[in-house]
Amino acid sequence: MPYTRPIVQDTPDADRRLVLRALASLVPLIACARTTSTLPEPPRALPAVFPEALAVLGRHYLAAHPEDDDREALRHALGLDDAQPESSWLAHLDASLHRDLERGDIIELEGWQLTRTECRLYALAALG
Amino acid sequence: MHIDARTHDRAMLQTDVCIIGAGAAGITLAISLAGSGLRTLLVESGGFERSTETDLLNAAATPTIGGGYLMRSRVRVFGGTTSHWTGFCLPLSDATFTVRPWVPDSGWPIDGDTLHPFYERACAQLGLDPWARGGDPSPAPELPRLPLSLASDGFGTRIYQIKRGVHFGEQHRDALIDADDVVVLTHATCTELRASERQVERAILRTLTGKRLEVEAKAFVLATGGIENARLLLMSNHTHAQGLGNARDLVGRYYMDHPELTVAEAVLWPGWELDLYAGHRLEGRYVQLGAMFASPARQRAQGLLQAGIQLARAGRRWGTSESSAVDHAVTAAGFWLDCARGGAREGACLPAAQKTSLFVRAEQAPHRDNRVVLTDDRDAFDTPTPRLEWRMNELDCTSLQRTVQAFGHALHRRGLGRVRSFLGHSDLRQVDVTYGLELSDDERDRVHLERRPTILLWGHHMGTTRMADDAGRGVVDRHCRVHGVGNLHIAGSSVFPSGGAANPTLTIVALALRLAERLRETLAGGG
Repeated sequence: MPYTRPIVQDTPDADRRLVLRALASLVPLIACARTTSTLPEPPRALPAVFPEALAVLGRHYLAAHPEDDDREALRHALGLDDAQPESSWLAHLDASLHRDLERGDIIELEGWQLTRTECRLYALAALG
Repeated sequence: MHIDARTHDRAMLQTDVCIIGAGAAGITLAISLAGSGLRTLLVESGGFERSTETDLLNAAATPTIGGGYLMRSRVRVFGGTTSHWTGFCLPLSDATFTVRPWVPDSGWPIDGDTLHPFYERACAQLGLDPWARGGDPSPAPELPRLPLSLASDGFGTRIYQIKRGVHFGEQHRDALIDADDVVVLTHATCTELRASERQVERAILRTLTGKRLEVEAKAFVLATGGIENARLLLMSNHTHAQGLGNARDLVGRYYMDHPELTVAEAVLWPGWELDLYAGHRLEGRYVQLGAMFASPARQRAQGLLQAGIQLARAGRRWGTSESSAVDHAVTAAGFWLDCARGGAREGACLPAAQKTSLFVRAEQAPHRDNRVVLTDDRDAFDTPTPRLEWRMNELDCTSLQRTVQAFGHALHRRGLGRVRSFLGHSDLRQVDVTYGLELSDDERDRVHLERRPTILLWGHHMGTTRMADDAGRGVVDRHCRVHGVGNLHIAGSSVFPSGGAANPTLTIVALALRLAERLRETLAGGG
């Protein structure tokens, strides 16, 4: 994959709200990366290459964990199968990440040590 | 007084204490004995300057380690390896002294409390701030530490002090030569200790010019380093066929070094000060450097050896052209996730994240098959040269992998960053091993940047005359006296039964101070 410099804003005072909004934008973006012909406009804070790069990681994860190769099951595991407000989804995600870390449910992908929840997010990008 | 053995006209010398080897241990002993009323002879194979002819006496085979490991890491000069010492100092942790059930043959017969007063004196000798018992140097550095010390994190920061340019030979030469009761004998290589059943009678010394001298003493101390101490005992087989002190076939075995390798890279979210881990210069006197170690509880829970995790190249920005798009994606997504969890600091911004290499200096488990043996090759004195049989063992490898994994998990859990391990698919028993000091800075940087491990060894020669109260488990007793040989002691890191993850010189000096006290007590009392 050719190198693309990220276009993250170099604003040292980027606040938590911006980050939360960017993160919230991430999931629908990667979830529909493969299903719609026209991607939503990436938020300014997201590198354009993100969906593809995360999908690469997701494919690595699915190759090693074929039992997770099910889009609906992944959406369910990530708390995305019900219409819910952003704050509720973030709370679900937070709980899921904490659970992974408490259990030591960490997976090595390309050397990166990632929680299972993170890996499932990327897998969803790959399946999208 | 100084005597050059090449021009000395007497064939026999008599003294109270004969110290063979003028490195960190031998010189510390001699300084400590000066003025005690005991006549001390300090014998050095080299002179006050290095010479190629003398260095060639270091010829040794190291089939599994490159870079001229034993040829270049040993120095036959007054001052020994302190002449090229990097100056890293840290006391051994308490865990090093204990018997750890998951580390076969671990444990010292003495503990940290016993050695602590001698560490304090060693610090005074080296001009360092003393470490509090089990803690930091005093005064402790004020720089912030990575917050990983909760029980659930299981990592803590220990502080090295680095004192550059400490050459024991240059520092203490004049004082020793001027001392009334010390004789410094240079250019004299000990080739054998002649012993009766339970006592060393004399040391045989030779010069490269063909002279032969003998020394009679009440007490002998071998302080020639982890390779030569073992070699000399094995060569001293006139009355003990297996070698002196080697009735249990332990001399030369349990060799250890501190493998150092780049194990991972990390992206640390902005807002955490890393200056302590990059090396903090203190008033121009020396450098304080933080390294992270697994807590004793985590070591026990996960069966870990000790390992100090250091950050190399701290301060580089995230998002360099070396990073792949996948790297960018995983770190950016991780950063946002951690922000959502409240881990990353308020106001943090991803492009200010720091990318750093993680490298470890690790303990090696004592293993009896890692050993120094004598070969059929001969040196200039027609004595057998040594060969080092050494390899990484399974515990060494699994412990490193688990430590990196645990550290990555701790960073992740605390929302501090992400770790990318280089060890996942590596069999550390198969990777290149080389002598670190031979690499240029550029070569070392390249090793750190390669995303595959290369093991560097720094010439910490430990374990070949290990300490144990039981003669069946060690070569020397808790007083560093060779089991079964009443007047022979050993100084230096060859007595370490476990090496921990701290550089050995500070402990070598502390043990030498302790041995000097013992010799003063026993010899002055006629013991």
